[in-house]
Amino acid sequence: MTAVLSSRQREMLVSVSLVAAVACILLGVWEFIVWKFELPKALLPTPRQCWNAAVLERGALFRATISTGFAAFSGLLVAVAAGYGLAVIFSQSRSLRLALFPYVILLQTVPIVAIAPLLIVWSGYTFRTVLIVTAIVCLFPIVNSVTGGLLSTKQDTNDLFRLYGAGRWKRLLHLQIPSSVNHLMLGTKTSSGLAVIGAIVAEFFVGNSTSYDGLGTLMTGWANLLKTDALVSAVFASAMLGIVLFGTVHLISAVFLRRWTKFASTAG
Amino acid sequence: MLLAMKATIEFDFFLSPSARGFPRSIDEGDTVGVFHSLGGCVPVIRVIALTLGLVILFMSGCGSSSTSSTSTGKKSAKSSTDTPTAGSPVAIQLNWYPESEHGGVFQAEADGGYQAAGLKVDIRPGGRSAPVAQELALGRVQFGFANADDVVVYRRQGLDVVAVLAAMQDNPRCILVQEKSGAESLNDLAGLTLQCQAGRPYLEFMRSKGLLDKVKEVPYFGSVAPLVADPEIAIQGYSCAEPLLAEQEGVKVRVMMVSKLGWNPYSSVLITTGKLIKEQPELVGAFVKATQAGWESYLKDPTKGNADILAANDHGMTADVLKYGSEQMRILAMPPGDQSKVFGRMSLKRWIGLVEQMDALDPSQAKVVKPEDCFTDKFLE
Repeated sequence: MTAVLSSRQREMLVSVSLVAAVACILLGVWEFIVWKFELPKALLPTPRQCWNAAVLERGALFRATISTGFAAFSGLLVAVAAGYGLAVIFSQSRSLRLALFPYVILLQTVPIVAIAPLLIVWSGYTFRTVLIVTAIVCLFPIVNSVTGGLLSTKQDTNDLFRLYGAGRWKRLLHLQIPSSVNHLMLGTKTSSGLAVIGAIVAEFFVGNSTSYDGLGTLMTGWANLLKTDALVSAVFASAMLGIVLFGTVHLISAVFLRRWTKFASTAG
Repeated sequence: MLLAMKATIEFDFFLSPSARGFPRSIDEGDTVGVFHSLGGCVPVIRVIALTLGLVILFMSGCGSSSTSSTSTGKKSAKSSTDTPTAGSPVAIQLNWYPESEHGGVFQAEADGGYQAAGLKVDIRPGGRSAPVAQELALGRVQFGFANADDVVVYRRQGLDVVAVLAAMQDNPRCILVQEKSGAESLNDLAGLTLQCQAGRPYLEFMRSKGLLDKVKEVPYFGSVAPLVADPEIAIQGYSCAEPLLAEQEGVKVRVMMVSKLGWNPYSSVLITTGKLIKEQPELVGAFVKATQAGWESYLKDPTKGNADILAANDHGMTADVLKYGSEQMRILAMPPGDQSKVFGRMSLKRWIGLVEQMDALDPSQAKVVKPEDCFTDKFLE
């Protein structure tokens, strides 16, 4: 049987079965803990109870996942656009970089829960506020890695460009930006998980402001109703959302940006 | 400290763009992302080994901590089975920041009622998401505050929570709007933004009446400030606190009682667990009686209780609001026409009514909770 499979397929099969094995072990441990300590399901439900709750609430769960996913994805896009712009500016001037970079770090270190209420005052209970919160959370990894990418061109290629008399603009367009694509994707992947967290945190404060609940608002409601099983299923939904978002970013980089990222992928 | 270090490192790196330590360029091709490392299976095995190790660590930690907590729970249970000896430690978890709705407990403590009953009471303030049911279920507290509808919610989730005293016969739940919002009653909320705690059964009740159809529901943070700032905002509240809090900020508000719609669960309900009632009825009896006396004293003269509440609440409570609150409490605790001679008593009829209302709102949970299991009057005299 294995002889029929190519080595790549075999590797895939091995990794999938390993991941599945870990999942089984973890679920078993979880089930065992609940059973051993006779925990009521309001404190810790069993995996099966969570699954049943997810099936029961599938409509709400699905709509909320879509709403939150949309918020996370839009926020990530805003962060990529803003982060890229900032990084390009930083790559062009050392003094600008010196002057502004600490403030970008500040954006990363100020707890979002502290500024969320302020953002509500300024921007209201709107989808825009959710978007801003998500974008703030996602911004730093993108700025950080893209700036790094734009600055890390190799010395000999730099020399080559200088030799041919390429100006700042040409150097940016033809050398720095192409060679930073990898870093952009790296930063975006890091931020893709953060985007889901950002969107859910924003929903805790703002609500989702779409016609449906988001995962954040759903979780608050279920927590108030002590529906811990449904709550855990929502946690899994947000984890799945993070994986989907990560996978999407990966897919984009593998399919559309292959020209710039293929070296890195094959070498990895 | 660590953060500062991290920042400095990043910053240093940006000071020297051509730093040697950063050779990451396109042709050197670093491994990017987790997906690639999944390809080779040796790292995966390592990851699994690590995960397993962590799981075992977690389990052993978890096991020892929970066995120790249950064993201490049992120990304390045994040591005080007979009669509450001098200073039996008892903890009570409030369901909100201390307010006049918890007056009886603070008054009983201030009057020395708990001490006289041989109880050493630890009053734990709550907040926006006070884990009353969880703390009770884990045995970290012996008593808690809740609304009658919460008791049904908890029991539906399999927690054996029992109401032993209901201080408020009438539910204080209200919606507050500014007078200039133009909304005259709960029928006029359409177009407003309502700050409320998602999942509260009263919201489901209002929704079932179609009152929230065009209302934007957003989270509530326990402050009247948004209501004061914006006439388009309505907030949830208790009629014994928030109306005056808002008026003190200088706006005229309209108070719309949800009980007028027919949603009127008992409130400021003292809850405990069925287990504690079975194992230590004397302790429960002593606490309930002392709390009942505390409430009766508080409703006569709340001065002492209010002083302690004010000291325990650092969320914008004022002496005036507490005074107003205790006056309102008198109306809610002893509504005109209420025949019950015994303070805090509950009737099976009202519990049946409540459970029927809640079953109708969520048919999937119908018949899960029996009204007669929700409460007991046996500690009240």
